[in-house]
Order: sequence, then structure tokens, then C-alpha cells
Amino acid sequence: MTDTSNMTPGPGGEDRDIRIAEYVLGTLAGDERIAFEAELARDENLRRAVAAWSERLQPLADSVAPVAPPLALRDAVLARIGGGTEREEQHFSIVRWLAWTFGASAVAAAIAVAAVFLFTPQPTALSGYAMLHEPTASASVVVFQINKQRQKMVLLASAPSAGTGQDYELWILPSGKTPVSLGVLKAGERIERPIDDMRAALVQPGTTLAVSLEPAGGSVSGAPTGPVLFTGTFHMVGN
Amino acid sequence: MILRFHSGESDPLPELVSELEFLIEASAAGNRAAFSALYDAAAPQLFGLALRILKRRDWAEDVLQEALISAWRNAGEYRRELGSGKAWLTVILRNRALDRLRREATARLEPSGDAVPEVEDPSPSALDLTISGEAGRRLMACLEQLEEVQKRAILMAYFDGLTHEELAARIATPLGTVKSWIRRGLQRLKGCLEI
Repeated sequence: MTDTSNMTPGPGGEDRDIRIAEYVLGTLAGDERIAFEAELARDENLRRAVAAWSERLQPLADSVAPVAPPLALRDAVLARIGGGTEREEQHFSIVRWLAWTFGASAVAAAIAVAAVFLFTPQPTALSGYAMLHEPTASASVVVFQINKQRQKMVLLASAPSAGTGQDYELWILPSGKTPVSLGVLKAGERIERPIDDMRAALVQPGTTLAVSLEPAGGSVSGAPTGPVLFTGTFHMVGN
Repeated sequence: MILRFHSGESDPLPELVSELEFLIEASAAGNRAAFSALYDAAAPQLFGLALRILKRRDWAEDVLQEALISAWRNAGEYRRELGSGKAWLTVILRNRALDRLRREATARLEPSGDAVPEVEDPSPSALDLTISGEAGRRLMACLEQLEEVQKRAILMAYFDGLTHEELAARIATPLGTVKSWIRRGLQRLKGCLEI
């Protein structure tokens, strides 16, 4: 719970805090609400206090039974966030670069797999992560996480099985250098293993990671040989 | 979908809650796969709440859609240290829902100036809440310590999206009295929750 003890200072602090609560509850009428929101936009402490009240009242929202929205609504929302943003174009240019580098860019069969990473704990203190996905919008996703000490990584592949005699292999693609393997992944499994200093040093904000399809056990040549299925960019977690 | 936004008693909540935060941060980084996972995790609970407040399916669908698109666009503003991801999403949803209610109320008043017909739902269920989870149990216990009128006013305001004035009209009580119930109720609630 957020500490709110220092957020209602000075005379009238209590009144002010109740005003904040009324705003969160939603009882302020038109003009009052608009005035409050204008203040909110300028005042970081006010935003904190609003967040604290939102947290206090959150169990009320939790008490409402969930209702599945129409499927068409999901499509509509995802379509509206999909269109040609700068971030997206950046992603696609990485995909094109990978396609050019590795020859073929295969797309796995359409699947609806519940994202495995969602119900697995993160490393306690996370330094950063990458979420790798296919060039098409599918439910498959590969997650790479590295802990704060940069000694341990967690890999999760929510994707269909790689197939008999094949494995997914994860690569760091340092710019201007040859890909470096982070080992093989198993579909639907959470893997936690150490990462050495050399590899950890290559994983920096903006570094591209990719998953290719390789013979069982991984590429024997030490370089990716199969099609690149998933790509993503590493981000630091944080403030 | 395996992850549930709803916090039932048996859910291993801490991990799930932290994962929603993770998905918001990944959305902020532009990851659409993360956002679609966030949609699956959060949309049913948010839709339930939108229906509860708006009581019209068409409005609830509009509001849910607006709220989620807003969450995607503003994901970069989310700060873990300020609170949980689900509370952040709830604020976005409720703000959109309240805007919608206020807009519709104005639209109804403007053409004719006729009195607004009251909605059928007097929210009887608001008073027999069941809230699960540790935070829910604490809030319940504190709500139980309020005077009945205070508790009722707060719950009606929350679940029906009513302003002070609307609430006063709904329960045929002077505005000043209603305001005072809510203020005192919120004060006591805060005091109780902070013990």
C-alpha cells in the first residue's frame, strides 16, 4: 500500500484528502470534476493521493462479477492499436532486416495458447525483459527476463511445440556482430538458468533478441540456421 | 484464459498482480502481444464494472473500448510505485464511464428540460457485497463500521456513478445531508483502513 501520510499536509489537509476521495468515488459534478482534473494534471502529489484512494476502493471493483465482452470488441480494440505507429514500423524494419539476414522468415501456425508467462513468477528483482513475437499478430509469445544482478535469466515460450526433431533457440543479435546463442527453449515451459557475463553484457536496452527454429538440441554450427520465428527488443524495467 | 483479473480467495494474487504491471510496462514499450494479453486478463472484469455502472450494454461496450485504447496510449504514464495495475485500469474505466453518464445526463436535459426518468435499478445488491481477498476483507470490515446511511451512499455513488446531486435526488434526501454522509463515511473509512 502506498504511504499517504505525507500527502495531506498543512491546514485543510483532511478536507483536501476527502475532496480527493470524492473525486475517486465519482461524486463531484461536472465543473468541480473538470477543475479537479486540471489540478491533477499539474500536481504529482495529487496524483499519488488519487492512486492511494483508488487502491483503497479497488476491492469494490473486484467485487463485481466479470463478464466476457463480445469477441468483436477485442478485434476492434486490437485493430485500433495496430495501425502504423512509429514503434510498430520500427519493429517491422527489424523483421525485414532479420528476414534478409537469415533468409526466410517463417510464421508458425495460428494458435491460441494461453500465455504461459502470465502465471509464472518473475525473478524477484527484474532488470529488464524482452517479449518476442511473430511478425503477424498471434497469441504466441516468447519472454526473456534477466534479473537485477544480471546472473540469471528466465525464458518462457508460449507457443506451439517446435515439432519432432526440432527446438526453438534464442539468440542475442548485437548490432554489427554475429548472433550469440542463449540456448534452446521448450514450448510451454518456464526455464530459469544462469547467464554468463559475456552474454549479459550484450543484452542492453534496444538489443534485438530472436528465436529461430533449429534441429533438436540447437544449432550445431553456433549460428542460426533455421527460420527466425520471433523477434523482440530488450527493455529495462523501470521508472 | 488462465490469468484472471478477479481476485478470488484461492488465487495466488501477488504474482498475478505483478504480471499485470509487467504487461502495462510492456505495452508502454509498444508490444502489442503484451497488450493483447493484458486485454484478455483485464477486459472481463472491466466490462463487468462498466455494465454495473452504466446499466446499458451498448454504452458499456463503447466505454470499455475507449478505456482500453486509452490504457494503451497512456501506458507510459503508469508507475508501479503508485499502485497496482488493476487499480490504474479501474480508474481509467470509471473515468470514462462517469464521463459517459454525465454526457448522457446533459443530453437528456438539454432538448426539453424535462425531468430525467429514474433508472429502474435501486441497487439493492450494493448493500450485500461479497468481496474476497485480504484487501477486500479489510475494506468490508471497515464499511461495516460505518453508519448504514453512510455506507449506502458511498456504495451507490461508486456502483451507480452518481454525483452528490443525483444521489440526493435518487434517495430523496437534502443535498447537504448526502454530502455529509459521504464525507464522514470516507473519513472514517480512511481512518479504519490505516489502523
